[in-house]
Amino acid sequence: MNEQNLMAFAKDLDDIKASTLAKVGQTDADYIRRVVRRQRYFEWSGRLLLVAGFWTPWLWAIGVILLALAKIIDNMEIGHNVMHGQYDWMNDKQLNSKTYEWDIACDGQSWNRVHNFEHHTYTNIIGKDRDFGYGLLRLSNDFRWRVKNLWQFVTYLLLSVLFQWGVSYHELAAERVFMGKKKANRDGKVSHEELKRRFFSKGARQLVKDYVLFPLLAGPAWLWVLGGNLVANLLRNLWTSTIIFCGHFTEAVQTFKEADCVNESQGQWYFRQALGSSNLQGKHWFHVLTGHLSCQIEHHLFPDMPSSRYQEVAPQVQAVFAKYDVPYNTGPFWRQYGSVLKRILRYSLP
Amino acid sequence: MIDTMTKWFLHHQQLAGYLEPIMQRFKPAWRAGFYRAEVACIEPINEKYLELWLAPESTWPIHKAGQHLELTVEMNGQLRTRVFTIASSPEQYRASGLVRLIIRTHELGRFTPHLTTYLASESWCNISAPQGTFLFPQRKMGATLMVAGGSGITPFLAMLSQHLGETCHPVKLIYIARAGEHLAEKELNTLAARYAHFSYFPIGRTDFEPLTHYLNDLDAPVVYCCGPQALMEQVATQSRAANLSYFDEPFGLATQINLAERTEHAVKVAHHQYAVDNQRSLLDQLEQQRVSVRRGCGMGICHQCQCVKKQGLVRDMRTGELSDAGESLIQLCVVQAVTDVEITL
Repeated sequence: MNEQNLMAFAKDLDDIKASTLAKVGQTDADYIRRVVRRQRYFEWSGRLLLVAGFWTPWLWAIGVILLALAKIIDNMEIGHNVMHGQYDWMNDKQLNSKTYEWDIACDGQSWNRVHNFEHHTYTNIIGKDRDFGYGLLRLSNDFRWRVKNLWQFVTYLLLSVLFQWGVSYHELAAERVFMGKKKANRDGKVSHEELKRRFFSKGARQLVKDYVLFPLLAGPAWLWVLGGNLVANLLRNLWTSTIIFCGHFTEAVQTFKEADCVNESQGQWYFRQALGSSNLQGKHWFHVLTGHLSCQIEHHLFPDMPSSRYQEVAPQVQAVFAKYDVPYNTGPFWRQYGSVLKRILRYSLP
Repeated sequence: MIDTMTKWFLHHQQLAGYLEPIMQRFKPAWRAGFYRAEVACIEPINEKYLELWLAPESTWPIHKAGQHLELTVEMNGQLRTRVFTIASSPEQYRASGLVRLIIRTHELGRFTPHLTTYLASESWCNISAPQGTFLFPQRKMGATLMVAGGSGITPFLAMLSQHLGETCHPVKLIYIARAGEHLAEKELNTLAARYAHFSYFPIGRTDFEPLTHYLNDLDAPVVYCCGPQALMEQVATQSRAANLSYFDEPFGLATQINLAERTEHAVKVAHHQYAVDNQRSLLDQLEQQRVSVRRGCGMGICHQCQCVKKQGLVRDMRTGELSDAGESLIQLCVVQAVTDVEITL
């Protein structure tokens, strides 16, 4: 696109943003509080039913699913979006990006810093956005092929199973904190000591909660509760990992060089976000469970727009993309996920 | 113990915060860190003022006459907070369970003109505990001279109603307002008729004489003043010149804003003040003065430089929108100061 088109493209997207944000109000506040309430109901009923495993495994199984749903909603629709500042306009202390903490091993404030800043400002810029491949997977030719890439599909499966720990370790930039690796173009705003402290304290609390405290409270049913928490955490890990991979690593998603973001105009920035993200189609409940990362394109264009509006703006954004001939990467879940798996396999070979 | 457990395992600062959305289903406006109050009555006094009677929940600590509170109302999904002086006495609260606020409605404001929309009778809102040290002296004392300007009459209404019966020293109230805009005249006249030691002088805006003019029958009074900034400065200076004790209660008034013109403002951060202008972003200017601020993208995306503005007006450079005068969250990289501003980093 030439500079003139980019400006018009940016203007159209800015207009969508402005007209949507002007509508944000009571319905959005009611929406997020409703989601929080459901999260609580799922969590409480799930934890109670785990104890009933003592009586019949069927109730235990339902409990596991409810608890997994509670964790997914907490991490995705509430945690991720609140910590983006999407609901800060409400002035509600419980839904504030600077104080929100979530039910996951990764410390919320560490994540807030790395994700919102590094990943959203420098989306898919190799060398700046560490989320591209998480330092584990080779997902484009920008990286030299190494022998370990041969079995990166197994690495990917392991990452998915342990995703909350992967995210926690990764967002901490742990290879630097623990191994002392340095990178020239980054300045640490938080000391390594502080990062380590947060990593261990949050991680430990999560372990104590799910594998000591709640099993103890369950008395003789402790093993059911411990097992239930383990499975619920696993289900949550698999779900979040899968959804997040679908948002950035489908085959058509493009990568960029560091030079691309020097003196970038708003139009270029939008354009880069557009080419670096992919969407998933589905019903309303599906969008909610993905934390609206199913609308990854919209989320990357307008990261602090309330998630309650992404489904509404998606068709408008798609129309603007069509007008300027910008590819709008979307599809049903299985197609997009298949495309992700293909990409992981493709780049495991030189 | 409960708070620590809540923090560690439920990821909220307080248990009440974790339970809040559920509790709100049963008790409207139930909010961690706030008191609830039910609206007993809200009605306009005249074109500019309205009267709001609130019934605070029973745990609310009773105020002292002259104190104010923060009123928080959810308006279109957003919690907005403003400070108002309580215009009724603790005695009245004990008798009726109600407190009165007299609120000046600013036509272009984002709070007061919408109050009648969002607060109907029997609806709920939030209030803070009473605050403030603008109090009538409790101990034995001499004469008192009160100077009120416009809506600055409110703390005096509470003080007079509470304390006139307890003192026999002279109390004189000079109440400056536009003709026909004096509030609670009936109430004040009744008090003046009932208590011989209380005298009340409603005067027009241009009729205010030098302070000494009102001192003739008072023996070294304590001077109290509440009203517009200019009035308080004038009364303070004259009190000091006459060697009198002086107390005042400042309250914010909307300032005239001209964005085209370059203006300078003070930004208060903790105990420091920094000079900024209204042309560049607060982030740039604070960084330039070596204030330790966390910078992120610098374009309003990542919220790393977000902080709490306690008071003052800022303008969003992207939309041109002016902020609330009260407490709100701002992103330093995309706002400019329009008035003096206080922030916490």
